[in-house]
Amino acid sequence: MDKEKNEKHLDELISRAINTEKPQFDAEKWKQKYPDEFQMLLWRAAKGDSARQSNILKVILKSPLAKLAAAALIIIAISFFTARQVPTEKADTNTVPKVTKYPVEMVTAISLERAFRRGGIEAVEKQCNEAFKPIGPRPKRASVEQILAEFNGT
Amino acid sequence: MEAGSAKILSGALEKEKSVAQKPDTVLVKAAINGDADSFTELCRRYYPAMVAIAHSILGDRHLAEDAAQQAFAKAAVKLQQLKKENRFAGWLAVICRNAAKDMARNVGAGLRVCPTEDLSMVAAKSRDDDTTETVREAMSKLSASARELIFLRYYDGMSYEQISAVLGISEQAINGRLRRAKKKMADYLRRNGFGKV
Repeated sequence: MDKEKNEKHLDELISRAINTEKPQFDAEKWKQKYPDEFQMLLWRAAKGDSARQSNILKVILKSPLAKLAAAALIIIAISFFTARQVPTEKADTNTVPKVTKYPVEMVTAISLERAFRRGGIEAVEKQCNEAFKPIGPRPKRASVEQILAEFNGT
Repeated sequence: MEAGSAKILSGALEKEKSVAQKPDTVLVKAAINGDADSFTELCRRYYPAMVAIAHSILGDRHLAEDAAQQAFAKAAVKLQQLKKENRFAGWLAVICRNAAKDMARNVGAGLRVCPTEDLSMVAAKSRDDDTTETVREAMSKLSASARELIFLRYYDGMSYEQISAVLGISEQAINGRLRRAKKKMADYLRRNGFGKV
């Protein structure tokens, strides 16, 4: 009983010593006292959209499933990009690069051999066409085989 | 015209009421996105607690109110740095503690401690003022965290749950620390002539 009384007495003494009148927050006064800080708070509302975007990023970074999905998407994108970079056989035959600069050089045995290695007979034909373009149309009678035979001296 | 202004006023009051009913986490999220009303409500909610914390450091009610307001200003600027919305009260308390300590350094404030030779004199007197002074002396002998706890508990009659939110410790821990702090104070008061405490 005495202990309880003592405790109550102590509570009273402490309350009296601390001046327990409840402090009231005056929002208007605070806004006037700290206008810059308050403006900074309001400024955030204006750029709310960007904040929402960063929230989406936060969600992605927080959720393990979203992380996994993002990683998978990145892998797919990379593999798609690299697949486009590797030339296919078809692309090789269709787009035969010029091996030489001048028409005369384009029909030399070496250049035609190179073209054949790159794209087969089609590439050789294409190269011949390219070579003959500046000097006008190729005679209809002369075939690629004949030209090659002439070059080989057979 | 009057009806219009009355409508606006009632609308504002209703909004204020709805904001006041929202939990901390909702208000914090809204405040982070720039909702001034939500931030103001948070300030209103935690003002007594912040003043109590600052008062325990500064020993002066007016300075404590200044420090609490300064803490709110700092919080308004740094709000986006808050990582967990449910830790707002504890985060604010840290800012307030630092603001109060800075202020104490600047103005040379702090809980006043009388020279020991005066204590017996003070305790011997039966007047209320002297009693209060001796109780304050007993408080000044406590550790900073224990003193802060005493202020939080007795300033606004905060519940253990509320104190737990601010200090980030369990209610059992609060109970234990509060008991030890009060026992220390009682011992000090007994030594200084308060036989019944």
